[in-house]
Amino acid sequence: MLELEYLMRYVLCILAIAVIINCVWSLIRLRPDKKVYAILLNMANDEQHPITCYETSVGRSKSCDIIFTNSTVSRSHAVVALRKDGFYVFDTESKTGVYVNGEKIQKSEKLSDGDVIAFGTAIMKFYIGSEADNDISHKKDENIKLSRLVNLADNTEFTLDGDFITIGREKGSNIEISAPYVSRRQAEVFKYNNHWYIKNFGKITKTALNGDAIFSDTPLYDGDVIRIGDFEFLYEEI
Amino acid sequence: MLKKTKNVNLILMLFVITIFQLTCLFTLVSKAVDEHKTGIILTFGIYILVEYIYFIGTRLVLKRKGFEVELIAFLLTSIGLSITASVYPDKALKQLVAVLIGIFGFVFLQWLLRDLKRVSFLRVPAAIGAVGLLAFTLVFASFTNGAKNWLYFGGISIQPSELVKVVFIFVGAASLEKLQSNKSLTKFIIFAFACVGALFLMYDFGTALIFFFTFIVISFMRSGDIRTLVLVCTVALMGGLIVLMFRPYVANRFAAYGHVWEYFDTSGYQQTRTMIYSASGGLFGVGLGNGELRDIFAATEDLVFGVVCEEFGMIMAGAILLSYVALLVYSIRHSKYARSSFYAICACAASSLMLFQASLNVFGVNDILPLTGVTLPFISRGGSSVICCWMLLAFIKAVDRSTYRYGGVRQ
Repeated sequence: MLELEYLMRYVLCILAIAVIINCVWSLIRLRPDKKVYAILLNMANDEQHPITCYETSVGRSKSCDIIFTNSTVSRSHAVVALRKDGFYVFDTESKTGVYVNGEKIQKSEKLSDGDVIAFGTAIMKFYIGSEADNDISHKKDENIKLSRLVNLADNTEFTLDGDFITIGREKGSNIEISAPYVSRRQAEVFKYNNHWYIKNFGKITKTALNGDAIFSDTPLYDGDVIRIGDFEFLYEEI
Repeated sequence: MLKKTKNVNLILMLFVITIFQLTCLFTLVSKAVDEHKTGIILTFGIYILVEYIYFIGTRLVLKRKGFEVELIAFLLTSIGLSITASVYPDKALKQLVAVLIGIFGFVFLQWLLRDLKRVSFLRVPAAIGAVGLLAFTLVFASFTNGAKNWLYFGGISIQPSELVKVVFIFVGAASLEKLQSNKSLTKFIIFAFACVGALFLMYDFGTALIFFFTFIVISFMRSGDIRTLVLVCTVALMGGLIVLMFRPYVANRFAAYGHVWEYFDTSGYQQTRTMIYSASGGLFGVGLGNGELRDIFAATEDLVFGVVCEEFGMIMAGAILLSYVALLVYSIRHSKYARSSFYAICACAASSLMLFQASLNVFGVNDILPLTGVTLPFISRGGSSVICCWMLLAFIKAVDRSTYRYGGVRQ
């Protein structure tokens, strides 16, 4: 009996160690499968940001999953979250807001494949699925679209070609506006990575986009209305 | 690309654990007096049956594959049950009932956490309930072993602060959709202050320290704001020093700390005996039921690590400590890929709490830290403690996104 008891000391120890070491080793080494649920494609530099987590934070802070150094992006700008019924983007009280296809979102917005999301001036195209599921290079080509500005007062059209057009009182501007409150160089509509942006230069009168004054380079989307004093221009993708 | 590792073989591990439990049972029965034999056999029989029901059920019904967390918990609980049945054979069944409540709580909490809207709805009632329970304890509890933290109902005694630990993590992490946008810690600081303050007034300093540590972990994970945390820690430190200055009897409780050998037969009695007997156990221990430390007061609760060292040996004691570390590593690893930030915060807070509590217990009995009288997770005897540990395990389990693979998470 004593010998059996003596033996059991070792048996108990070996059995417990076997379970603990096996489980501990597995726990320490176990990592979840890294699956790419979606991709955010930076339209400025074609950089791809794979979304591998259920909640992906976007911002300027180093603690974010996707980091932008752009000053128009807040430290904690937004969260792209995978929910049971699809992807959502949440605006996490950013200063410049989150835009989905040109519309500013309030708290959150459901995302669809191919949506354009703007975090400040960082413009991203959202693709559901992994890189292999999406022929992103092909889809990028689709983004090259012809656009125009329509003067809503007289329906005059200005086709956007080249790299930029200028708007202002100055003679030689692509769109010349003869009004005393308009600056000589009021605004510039320029192309950057196949997307059109607007920049304000006006000092007396601010250029407004969809009713909001522009303070930095702002992307244009189909249907946007640019307002300079009493003048309104509709941005259209042809 | 991350490396994939296979989960442990459930059938093999379950078989090994069963052999371990049966070996413990055989040893206990061979040493027990006749009147206790039935109780011990019944305790282990029911425990093993519940263990098998859990594993078979979750494997076949919920199609789960990873069981490492539960295997560790079942093994540690077996060690705790063996020590309890060995020292207090008449209390083995009572401890088993607590373990079963804990396992039920573990399963229930996993179900509760699946629906994040439900979690969001419950956070305010849970917080009010927790503060109310602590206030009730403060008013109606009587002093037991220097702390006013036990409530007695008939023949049942409970330690509400243990149950509040679960609620504390639940409330602290439940910000859900507001997590990124609402980083204000004000409400949580008020809740944490109420809990820690109540525990301080109960003289339950060990638990107060655990709550404070958990508060720091949750706050850091929620806000990432180091400056606020430094400020809170500084205020807490100053508050602690003021209490020690104006209430010197608080400091008296830790008078022996750092030189327990000078108080060999008085206030350092427990620690000195624990160190002596722990060392005498050697690498493989003296065998279950053959130790001497079991005769010292609170051997199966505060000093249980010493009993493990003495009766099971240093190697097993080291492996037990390693398992607490592994739970924390596991939580941190999985937190990035969790289905929600809520699960990530809960898991890291729960596993940190367990590791911190285990550290307080182990370092306390070895005089590296003051002896605060906290329990060793899963192993110490005590119903409230074991229920709390099993429920905390649900938080750790929830961080693994494969836990809710079957049915998904409702957000």
